[in-house]
Amino acid sequence: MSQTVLQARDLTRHYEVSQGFLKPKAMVKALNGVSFELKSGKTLAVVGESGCGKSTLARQLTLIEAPTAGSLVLDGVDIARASKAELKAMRSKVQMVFQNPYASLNPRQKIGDQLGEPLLINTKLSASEREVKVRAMMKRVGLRPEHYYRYPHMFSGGQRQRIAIARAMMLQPQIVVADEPTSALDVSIQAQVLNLFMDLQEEFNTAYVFISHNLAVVEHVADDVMVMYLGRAVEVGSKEAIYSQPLHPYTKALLSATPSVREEDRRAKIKITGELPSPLNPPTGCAFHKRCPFATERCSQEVPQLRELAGHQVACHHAESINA
Amino acid sequence: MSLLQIKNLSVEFGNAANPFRAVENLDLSVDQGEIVGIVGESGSGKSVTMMAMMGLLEGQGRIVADQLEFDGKNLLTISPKERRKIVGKDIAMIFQDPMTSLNPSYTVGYQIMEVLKVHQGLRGAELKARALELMELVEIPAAKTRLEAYPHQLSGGMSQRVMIAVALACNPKLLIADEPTTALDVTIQAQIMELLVNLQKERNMALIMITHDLAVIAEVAHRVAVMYAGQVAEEGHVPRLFQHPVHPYTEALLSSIPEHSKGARRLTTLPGIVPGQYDRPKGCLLSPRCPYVQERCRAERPAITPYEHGAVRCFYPLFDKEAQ
Amino acid sequence: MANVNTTSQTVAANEDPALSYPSPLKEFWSSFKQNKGAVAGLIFMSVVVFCALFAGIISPHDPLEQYRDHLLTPPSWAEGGVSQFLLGTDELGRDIMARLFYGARMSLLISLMSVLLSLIPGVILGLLAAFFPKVLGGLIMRLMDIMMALPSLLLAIAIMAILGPGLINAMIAIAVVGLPGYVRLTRASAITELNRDYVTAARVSGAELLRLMFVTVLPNCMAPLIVHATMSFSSAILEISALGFLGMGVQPPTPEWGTMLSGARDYMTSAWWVVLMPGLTILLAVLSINLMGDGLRDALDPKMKRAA
Repeated sequence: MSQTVLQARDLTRHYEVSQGFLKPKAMVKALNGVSFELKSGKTLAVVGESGCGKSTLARQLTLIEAPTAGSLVLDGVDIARASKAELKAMRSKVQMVFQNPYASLNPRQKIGDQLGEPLLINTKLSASEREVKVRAMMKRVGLRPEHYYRYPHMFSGGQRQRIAIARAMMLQPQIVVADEPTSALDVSIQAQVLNLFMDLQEEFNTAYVFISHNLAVVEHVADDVMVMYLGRAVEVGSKEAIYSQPLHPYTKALLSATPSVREEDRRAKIKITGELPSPLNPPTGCAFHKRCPFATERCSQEVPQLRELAGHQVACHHAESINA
Repeated sequence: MSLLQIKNLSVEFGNAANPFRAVENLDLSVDQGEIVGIVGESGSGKSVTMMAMMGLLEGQGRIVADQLEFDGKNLLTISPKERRKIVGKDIAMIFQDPMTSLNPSYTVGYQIMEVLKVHQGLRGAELKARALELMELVEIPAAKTRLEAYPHQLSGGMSQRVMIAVALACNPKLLIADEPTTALDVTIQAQIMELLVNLQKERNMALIMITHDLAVIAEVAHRVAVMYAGQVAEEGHVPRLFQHPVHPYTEALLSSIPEHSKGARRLTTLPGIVPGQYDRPKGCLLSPRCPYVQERCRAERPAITPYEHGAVRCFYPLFDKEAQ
Repeated sequence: MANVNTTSQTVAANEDPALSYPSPLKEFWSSFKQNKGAVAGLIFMSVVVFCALFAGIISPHDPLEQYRDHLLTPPSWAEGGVSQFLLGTDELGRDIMARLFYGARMSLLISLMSVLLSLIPGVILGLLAAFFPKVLGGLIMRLMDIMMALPSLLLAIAIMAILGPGLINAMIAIAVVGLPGYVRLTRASAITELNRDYVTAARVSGAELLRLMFVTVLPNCMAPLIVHATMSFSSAILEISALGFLGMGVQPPTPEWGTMLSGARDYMTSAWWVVLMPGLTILLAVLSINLMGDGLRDALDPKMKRAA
C-alpha cells in the first residue's frame, strides 16, 4: 500500500515582469491553480509544451520558490506552516534532475565532491563515511570508481545524467522531480537512463514527478499523467485512461502530433493551427480556444474547470459532445 | 540519374599523424522529389557529411571521395566561385536552432530580400512582392506586418518558417534540413513537418532530413540511411527498414525507443557508447556493443553490401530474423 | 565538428584506468608547467621577489647614497660606464641597480596590496549584487556607476585628500579606484552562472547562501577575475607613481619603480638608462604577472585539463 507523499492544492505562482520604464508591471500567471497527489513509488508525468508552467511547477515542488497561492503538503507537513528547521528537513526529501546534463553539474567540482555535497550539507557524516556512501551510489548508477576524481567535462551526456541522478538520490529522497531528463540525450542513451530511473524507483520506492514533452517516453514511465496548457491542468488521469481515451482536444492533438515509428501506433492527425499563446497575454476563457477545432462562443468566455468524466478529470466544456 | 550522388566519401579531421575519420566510406544518392532521412546519434557524422558535400569544411577537414556529384556537376573539382553559385541557390539548408540562424540585428524581411537580391538579382517592388509571396508560402499569418519584425519578436516555430522561406527563396533543387524540429514543441513540430513535406511535394524538390528522431523519419521519409560512428550502417526503404532492420545497430536503435517496449518496465538497450577518436575498434565499429558479435567482426571491418531491399554493412546481417 | 571531438576525448578519458589521483597541488603544478610563458613569468617574478627580500645583502650600494662624482654615469657596458655601477647612476648619483632592488619591495607591496584591497571587497560586493539584484544589487551598482563616472586619478586624489597623504592611504585610494571593475566583472559572471542548473541543484540539496556564493558560484567566475587582477597589478604600479608625482604617494627619496620612472623623464634624451632601467623592469614584471595570470587561469580551469 503506497502512501501519499505529496499533495498539491490549487498551486498558483504568478510572476511580476517589468515591461519597461514607466509602464505598469505585467503579471505572468505561470501556474494557475494546479492540484494533484503523488504516491510513493509512483510516477506522475507532467506533459505540456513550452510556457505551460512545467518548470514553474518544478520550482514550487523543489521548494526553491514559494507559491503565490495554494497549498503544498509534503509528507504530511504543510509548507506554508513549516518552521525553518522543518523546511530544511523537507528540502532534502525532494530532489531534482535537470534537462541539460551539461549545465546541471558544477564544472569546477570533482564528481566525488559533487555527490558528497548533499551529505555534507544535510548530514553529520564524516568525510570517509561520505566517501563510502558516494562510492556505493556511483556503483549503483553504473559509474566506475575512478570517476570519483574526474571533472564533469570528461563525461558524455549520458554519463553526466547518471551523475545528476546519483546526486539526486544521495539523500534517498521521497520525491524526485525530473525536468525533461532525457530530452538532451540520444535514443540509445535515453533508454539506458530511463532504465536507471525505473530501477532506482523500484529499489528506493521513490515517487517521481516526470516532466516531459515526449509522449512516448511518458507512456513508458508514467503511472498517472497530467496534461498542462498555459499554467493549468487540462486533463488528469491514469496513463491507461489518457492514452487509450484522451478526452481533451489538446491531449488529442498532442497525441496525434507525436510521430511514431510503427504505423499501427499512429493516430489520426488532428490539425491544430496557430502558435502557443504567450503567458503574458493569455486568451480569455479556455486558454486553448483559439487553436481548438471544437471551440464555441462559450469557450472564449468561460474558463472550464477540471471535472470528473469517464474515470479521469478533464477541463473542457464540450468533453462529452466531442467524445460522444 | 540521381540529383545527388556521393560515392565513398571520407572526411578526416586532425593532423596526419593522428587523423580522426568523422565520415568513412559513405555512399548516398538522392533523387529528385525524394525524401531521404539520415538518422544517427550525436557524433555519427550526419551533419559533417552534409557540410563536406556543400564545401563548408574548407580548411578544417580533408575530404576524399570517388564521386561527389550534384546535378551533373562535380563538387570535388568545382571552383569556389561556382560552388557558391550552387550552394545557397540549388542546395539550401535549414538548421536545428531557428533562433540563432537568423541575424538578430536585421528584420526578417531584410534577410529574405537579401537572399533574393544576391541570387536572383531582384530589385524594388518585385523584390518586395516576392518576399511577401515566400512568407505566405510558408504559411506565416499576417505576412505583411511580419516582414518588418525582428527575429526576437518571433516564436521558434515562426522563425523556423522564416528559415524555410529563406531557404526556398531561390527554388532549390535540394533542401537539407538538419534537425529542423528538434528545438520545437510537439504541436509546432507537427506543423513544420507538414509544411516541409507539402512544399517538397509541390516543388518536387529533393529533401534530406537529418535527425536523431526515428519516428519523424518513419513518418515522412521515402528512404533512410542509418549512420553509426561515421559510417552508413544500413540503408533502405521506409517503412520496410523499420519493420525488418537487418543491421544489429538499427535493430538496437529501434528497440531502445519506448514505443517498442510497450508494457515492459525496462527498455531494451545497447550497452556502451559510440566509439570516439581514440577508441575505435579494429574490426566492425559496432563490435564492442553488438549482441551478435563474432570472431570475424572484431578482426575485420565489413563493407557496405547491397541486398534485395537496400544495403547493409555487416558480416552477419539479420536476414534470418526477418524470415521468422 | 567540435562536438565530434569532445565526445571522443571523453571516451578516451573514460578508458584511462587511472585509479589513484595526484594531490590538488601536484595536479595544479602539472597543468601550470605546461604553459611555458607562465613558467617564464614565474621564474622572473621569483628573481624579483628574491631581490626585494634580500636587497640588503645583494645590493652593491645604499639606494639613498648620492655619489656626487658619478652623476648620470652610464651602465658599465656602455661608453663612459664604470664597473662600480653596473646599471649606471641617476641624476643624483644614486646607483640604479640598488634602487631597483629596494624599489621592488615597495612596488610589489603596493601593487599586491592594492589588488587585494580591491579584489576582495569587489568580489564580495559583486556577489551580493548578483544574489540580491533588486534593492541591494541596485544600490551597489549605482554606487559603482558614480565611482566610474569620475576620472580615476581625480577620484584617487580626492580620496587622498580625505584620508591624508601616506603610503597606506595611497594603496587604499588605488584600491577604491579599481573597485568598480571587480564588482561589475564579478556580478556579470555570477549572474550568468546563477542561471545555470547546477546552482539550482545546489539549492535543492540545501546549500546556504554563503556556500552558494563562495563554493558553488565563485570558482566558476574566477577566469575573468584573474585576468583583470593581473592587469590591474601593473596599473597599480603606474598609478602609485602618478600619486607620488603629485606628492601624495611614495615620497622621494624612497626608491620605487614608478617614481624612478617619472622622476627620470627630464633626462630621457641625455641619459637613456635612467628611464630605460626602471621602465624595462616594470614592463618585464607586468608581462610576467600577466603570463602567470594566464597560466593560473588555465591551470585552475578543469576544462583545460587532460584526463589525468
